Amino acid sequence: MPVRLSRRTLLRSTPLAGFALSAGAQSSEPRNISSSLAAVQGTLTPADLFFVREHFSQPDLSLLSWKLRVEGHVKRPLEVSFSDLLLLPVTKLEAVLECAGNGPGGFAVSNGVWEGVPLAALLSDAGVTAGAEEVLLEGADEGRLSKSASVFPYARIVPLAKCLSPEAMVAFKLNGRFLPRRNGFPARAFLAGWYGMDSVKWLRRIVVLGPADRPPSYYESGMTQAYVRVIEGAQGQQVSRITGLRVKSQIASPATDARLTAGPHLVWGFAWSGMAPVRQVQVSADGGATWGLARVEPAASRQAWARWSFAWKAEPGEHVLMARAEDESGKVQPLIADPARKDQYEMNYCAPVRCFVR
Amino acid sequence: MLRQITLLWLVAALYAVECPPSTVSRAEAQARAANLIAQAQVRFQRGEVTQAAQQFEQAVCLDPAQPSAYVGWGISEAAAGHFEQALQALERACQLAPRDIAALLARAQVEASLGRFASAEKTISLARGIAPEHPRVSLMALRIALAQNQKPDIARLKQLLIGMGRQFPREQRVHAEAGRILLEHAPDLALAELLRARSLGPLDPESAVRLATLENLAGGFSDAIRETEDVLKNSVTPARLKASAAAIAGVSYEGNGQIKEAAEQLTAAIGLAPDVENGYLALAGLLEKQQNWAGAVAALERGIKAFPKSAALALALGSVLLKSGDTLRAEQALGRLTAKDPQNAEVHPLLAQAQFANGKAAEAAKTWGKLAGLQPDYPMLHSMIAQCLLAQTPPDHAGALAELARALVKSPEDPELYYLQGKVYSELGKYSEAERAFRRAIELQPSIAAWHYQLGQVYQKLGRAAAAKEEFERMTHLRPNAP
Repeated sequence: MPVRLSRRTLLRSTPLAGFALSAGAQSSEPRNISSSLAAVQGTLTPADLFFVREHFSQPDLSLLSWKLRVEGHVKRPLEVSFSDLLLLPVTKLEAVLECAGNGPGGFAVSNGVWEGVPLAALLSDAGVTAGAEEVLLEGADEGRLSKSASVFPYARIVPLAKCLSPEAMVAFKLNGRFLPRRNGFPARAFLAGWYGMDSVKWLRRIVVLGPADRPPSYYESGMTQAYVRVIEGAQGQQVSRITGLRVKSQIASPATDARLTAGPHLVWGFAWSGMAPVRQVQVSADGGATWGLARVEPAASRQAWARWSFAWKAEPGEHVLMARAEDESGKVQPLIADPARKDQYEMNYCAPVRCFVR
Repeated sequence: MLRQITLLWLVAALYAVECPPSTVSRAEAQARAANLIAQAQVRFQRGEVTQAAQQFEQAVCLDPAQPSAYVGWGISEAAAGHFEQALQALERACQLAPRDIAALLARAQVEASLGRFASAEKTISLARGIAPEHPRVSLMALRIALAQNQKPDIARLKQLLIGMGRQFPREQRVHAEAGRILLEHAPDLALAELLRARSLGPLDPESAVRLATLENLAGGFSDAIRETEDVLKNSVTPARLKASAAAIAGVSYEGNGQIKEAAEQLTAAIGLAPDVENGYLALAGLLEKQQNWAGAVAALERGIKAFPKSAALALALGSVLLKSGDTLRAEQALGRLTAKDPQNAEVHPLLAQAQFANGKAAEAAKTWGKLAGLQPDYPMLHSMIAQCLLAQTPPDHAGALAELARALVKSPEDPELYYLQGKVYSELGKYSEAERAFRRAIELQPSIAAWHYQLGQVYQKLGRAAAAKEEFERMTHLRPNAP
């Protein structure tokens, strides 16, 4: 092993010098990055494997000049510096983050320990006034959602109740380290249990909205048409906002089209739900004809994913593996896509994994 | 007059000060004491704490009513690690001058050093009662809170810092000093304080370098680069401090993906402080990541010239040479290192790899054997020895099997070991044993195509054509595009 200088060793040995691990080149174009769930040892997705979804280019924010404004329907508008944030009481939570557009068997999902200041504490300090119902969370990244839309900072309007819940925070650490730039450095909103688009990265403004407030740039940007559930029914299309993570399980191993030899194999993966803890995971090796119970390890928290495994005695032939989760609220992962859905979100249906056994 | 001198002498005696009898007048004694105090302070500044303590003690004898003599004495004894004596002196100082903040703060610090945190906090409260606006009182309270537990009570420290923020909103030096105090044990809070200090204006070079370090560790690479720029431009900054700044700028540029600038700064750091070993390692590490082997080797060789005895540099050099494919030089460099430092366990795996690459399987086996003596639990040790023994001319099959048997005692479920066993038995023509070994390897790790191929070959040797065919088909199934 070559000699490597850990940042801690160097900080101690050279009191006025320190060294960091390279973060790699920074991109100016929006990126989508994800890694196979099979790369996760234990339950925490390492920060460098955490999935990334960017709507616009990453902003380059300074720890010194970054400020988070809390304003709108509040008694005492706040301006919080990063220094202020570091001195406030913090909360830590292990929780899964999933992109709303993550497909069945997709990799746009990760699980980590988030640390930050409870959003409720900041709102309490600011003093939310009566009648406030929603909160605009605004990031420092900006662009157009479509060619015809105006340039606007990425933002989401979220119900005040969610922001006041214990699962909402202004996060600045992931897995014990400060947030990587691509995951929202220096701070982001994190709304555990909800899809990722509401956990606004590079957070710079929290605006408490009154009942009549309609921030013009937000409504002109096209964001109100994004991340919605569109269901075709007898009465026409019903459009509703997407919020909590739907119950889902995914097979991490074996991978699709794996070639295996006959004999014992461990099928394993992760399961999660934004509504309630995962109650059970069932696994099928014959495309859903028969099912067996997987062994589910206890999750670190209600909002974290649970690791599960299933001992499979593979017989020669072609097999279709499936995993199906159920949570304690009684919600069961569907086997197939809902044909009434006309959008590409919340795709929590079972993802078949084909493999060939000889 | 005589009564006064006697009384003072008695007071000094109560505090175990062994003073020679004084024959001079009080005025003369006070003058001499003042002189001694001044000399002692100079000595203390020079780090001659024992001599300073002696002079302060002499001053106490001459002028037992002089609080500053006791304060100086106490601080010097504390600096020398004599905390009980220090505490006695400082308690006396506080009795003589109950409103002397310096005495109270020094006493609190010594009480904390003795683990008497309750007393230290009481002393701080006293000081706060006398001088609530004195920044040093708050800073001492912070020091004591930090020292109180092995693991810092972050919530409590935060409360103190929030209080300090309200009390000293525009006192940059207070926050910079708080950052310094917190740096090692509560780096996040140190970052908070240094950012706060920085928000009030440019920092002194030392604080700027501390802040840049923390910004770098937090991933604020652009911030760290900006912070170091002023330090590097400042002509009065000492060279060593500039070297630290350049080093931080270097790794921050690397964090931003600006490799050319990173190498420039790390090179500059070495130029400014050629006696800092880490500088060479950092530059070599950067160049190694870029696979600039020649550059990495040059940096390490330069470092070795400055630090000929450095094991870290020699090891890094051997490693880089090995990675670059210059296995002959790697073997030489690492061989020199083991000759100088045979107990250095880190060298042996690299040296063994170099020897093996240079076709010296027997020597590689011996090197692994030496590692076994130093670090018997090194992963895959016996497997490596076995492979070396098999690579010898002629192969030492018996030795290899013995090593694999030793390895299997430690790791009975390691499929690689069974696979190697199978290979050895195959080479010896012991096909039944080979079959057993390969089958066990496959049982533990069924998806490696090559192992099925090996088992198939063994079945052929055993005349079991159908079994052989099945294994070859499994191999093809696992690796359909294999030749």
